[in-house]
Amino acid sequence: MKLGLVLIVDDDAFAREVVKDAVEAAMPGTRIVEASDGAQALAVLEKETPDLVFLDLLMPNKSGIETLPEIRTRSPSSRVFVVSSMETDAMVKAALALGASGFIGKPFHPEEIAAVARDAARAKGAG
Amino acid sequence: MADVWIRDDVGRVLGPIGVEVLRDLISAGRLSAIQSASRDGTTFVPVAEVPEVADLVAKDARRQDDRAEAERIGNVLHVLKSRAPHEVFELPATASLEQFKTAFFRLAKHYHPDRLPADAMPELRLAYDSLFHFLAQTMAQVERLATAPPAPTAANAPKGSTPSGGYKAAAPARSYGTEAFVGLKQQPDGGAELEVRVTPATVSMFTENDLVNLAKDGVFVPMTQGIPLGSVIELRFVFDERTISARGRVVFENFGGRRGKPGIGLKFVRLQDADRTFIADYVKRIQAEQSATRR
Repeated sequence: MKLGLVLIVDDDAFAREVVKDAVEAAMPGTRIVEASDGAQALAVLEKETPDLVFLDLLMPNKSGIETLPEIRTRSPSSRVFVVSSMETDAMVKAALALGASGFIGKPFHPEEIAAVARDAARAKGAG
Repeated sequence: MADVWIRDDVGRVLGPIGVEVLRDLISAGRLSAIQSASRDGTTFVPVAEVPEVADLVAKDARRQDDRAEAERIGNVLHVLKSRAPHEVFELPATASLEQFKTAFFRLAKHYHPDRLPADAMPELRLAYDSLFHFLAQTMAQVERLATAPPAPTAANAPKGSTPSGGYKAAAPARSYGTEAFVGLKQQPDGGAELEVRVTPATVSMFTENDLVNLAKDGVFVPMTQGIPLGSVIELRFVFDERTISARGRVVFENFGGRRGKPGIGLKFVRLQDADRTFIADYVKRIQAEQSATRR
């Protein structure tokens, strides 16, 4: 099963690139859209419904913590994985409480991203 | 407590998050360079205007300072470990044992872990402790060498020592552990409390100074930290057998390169007769034992 759309939200272009490469390697042909902050991500959701969102927390304008509940409201079917260096027990709990499906700490191995993408594709197929 | 937003030095925002979450992030080193904070996510003000955030940032700055100081001390220790004892104490190879002692007390006092504030980072406390114990071990080595008959040989001499020159003395070997030291605690009301461990190694504080000694109702406490003349200090003399409380006024100080040990002279303004007798008997007994050892 293929993923329809993956949204990558991160202000760091290099981080977006690494996530994008990992997703493309795991799920070739997947459509990927990028956003550099929470406001841009929500603008994408006005028109699109991603299957999977990789969301940074520390970003300009609108942080990931503020964006996460809005993604859950506007696009309940999207799986949201936080990808952030803010990886403490309390922060992970807070992100999960806001509706994140998981937390990937930076720096990450591309395989962590690839595994999440494959899982999301399987879940979509099963659904 | 209400959630807050923080903004870093490149304009990135994190929030809303609880202060506890923020504390975790800061203490884990995940967040630094926090420039401003907000209570509503819209209006950001300097961190100083949001006390709960300012407090966390200030504590983090102290932690970073402590870490940097711990690293510096670790480097100092690493360098000192490769040096001869006289180099450790920045003395010529021909220095006398008394010069070693003076240099040791100056350095050891500076790096004694008790000087650190109660909330100092464990890394810094460990670094101070390691350096202090290295200095104590080096000083004990110097003293062993100075007191061991016959004169040091090439086999047991510390690197760089000169058997015919330095490290000479007739005094018995002493302990340079933390227990031999003087603990000075500043009280919240501005007063001071001085706790002095009295052992055979330190008992000469009651006798060796001509101006302030037990016979003249005083004591000379070797230390490197000055206390203003005229200050009245609560004193605790800790012997193995008992602890004696007294009160003394600082009447004399010896700092700044004058001859003799650095330290302060105190005149007793309160010392009970029974305690004075105990100290005098203790001094007499130790002097007799040391005299017998030397014979």
